[in-house]
Amino acid sequence: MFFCEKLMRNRRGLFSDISFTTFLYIPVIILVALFLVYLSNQAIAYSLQTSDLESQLFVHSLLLSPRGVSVYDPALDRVFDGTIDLATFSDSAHLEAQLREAFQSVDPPLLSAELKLTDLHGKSFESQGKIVSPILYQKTWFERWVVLSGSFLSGKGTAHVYEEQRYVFVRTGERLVPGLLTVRVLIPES
Amino acid sequence: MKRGEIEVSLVLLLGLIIFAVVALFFFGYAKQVAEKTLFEKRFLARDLALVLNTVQSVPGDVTLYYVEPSANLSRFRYHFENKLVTLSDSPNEVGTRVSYPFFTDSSLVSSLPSLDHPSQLVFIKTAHALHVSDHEDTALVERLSCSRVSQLSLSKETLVLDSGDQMNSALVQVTDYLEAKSDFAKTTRTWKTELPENLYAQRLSLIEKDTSLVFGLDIQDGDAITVVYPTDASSEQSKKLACLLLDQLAQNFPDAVLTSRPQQSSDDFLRINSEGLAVVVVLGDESSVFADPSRLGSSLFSGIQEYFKSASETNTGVFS
Repeated sequence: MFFCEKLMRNRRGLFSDISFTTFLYIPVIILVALFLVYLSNQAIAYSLQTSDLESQLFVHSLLLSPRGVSVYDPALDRVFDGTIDLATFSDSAHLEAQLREAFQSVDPPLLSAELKLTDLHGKSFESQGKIVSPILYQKTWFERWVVLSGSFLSGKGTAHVYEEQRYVFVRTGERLVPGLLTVRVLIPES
Repeated sequence: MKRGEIEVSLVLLLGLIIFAVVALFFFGYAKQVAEKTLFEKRFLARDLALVLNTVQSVPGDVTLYYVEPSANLSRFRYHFENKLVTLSDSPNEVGTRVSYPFFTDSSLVSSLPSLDHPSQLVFIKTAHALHVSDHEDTALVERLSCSRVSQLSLSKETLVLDSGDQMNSALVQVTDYLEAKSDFAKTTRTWKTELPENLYAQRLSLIEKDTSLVFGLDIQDGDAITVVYPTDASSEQSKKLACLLLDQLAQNFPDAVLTSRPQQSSDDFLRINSEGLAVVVVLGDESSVFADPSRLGSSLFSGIQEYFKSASETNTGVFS
């Protein structure tokens, strides 16, 4: 009754009321719809989380691939799994370029990593009087993501850190000494 | 109608349109979730990327048959391009595409064609190549595995291009392409100037002792491309070259039927010198490769170039 009276009395006011109310609902509906889509996407992404597996696979590949960090004899076509040549490892520029070729990825890459070679007590090796510095796979991205990985927040815009350690042999000239390869893999949250 | 009423109605109309668009988008999304295609696509994209990374990291040769019981593989199309596994619903891309990155090793020759609704995926990795198919290809496995032979370091670089007996315009285009790319090519037949009666003797006369490679092209019936190599002392090297040629052809013509075989006594088209390499690429006259002669030429050139890549580190380059 009140509605009809109002309609008869002031049609402009009625339309103003309806449009204003409707106009308020539109962004709310959009936001709710987008939020539901986001939630279901996150649920799927969470149930298909493969980052941990990807980081482990990357570390295995580093040690098993002919173009990884293990010693490879092209004449025998054999990879000496878990044996790292110190001279090769200390040439960081060459090894980083080799890893980029062996693990070519989209940009930004799937992951980045830091490879650190130490003895069993955590002390860095020395080659030609210099301390062997860590190798960075996808250096630029590693330096960006390492900052994000320190965030206490989770979700998009952050990065997961996975650390794997492998006992290896380090070849220094003719000698083989035990060593520890620590690989810190950073995978961005997507 | 008053001016104020018109303005209000337009706002209402705009609101309704926005609402309709959002509703359509949301219902489309809900439909995909209900049909599980989004979940399946994401699952398969990630899983296939992991499989690709795994087979590439294996030190030896591996053939992996991928049949995922929890997902229906044949519902989708699979693309392996630009270091991304991409799944889509149909060729016209009506549905949502889902992609996930994988690593590629630049030392491997990759043959990763798009696959339409396959019932299984077969991943083949050898020391030098990576191939994905929807069926087991025994000939392909053999071809890829013969890439293990190391190339010889050749001391003399002379190429003889033997363009066969057929007057085929596509064949001539391919020959011209290869000749233009090589500094040392001697073409046995230009078809514009040579007379047929002088051809055989002239062709043989061009093959000299210092000829590194006799590269023949021929046409026969059928739709297959067959690379024939000799059975003499140089056969391992010629077989290696045949492998590399077929690898390149497989990459550029994923649908072509590709084989290689040793020379038979009935083959009279393979001409060799005493020590050098020799192959004949026999093209089936019904093969789809004739549709694109320049691509065929560049594929063959890439195969030859790939062979000479290691040799050129110690010698002067043969190909520009």
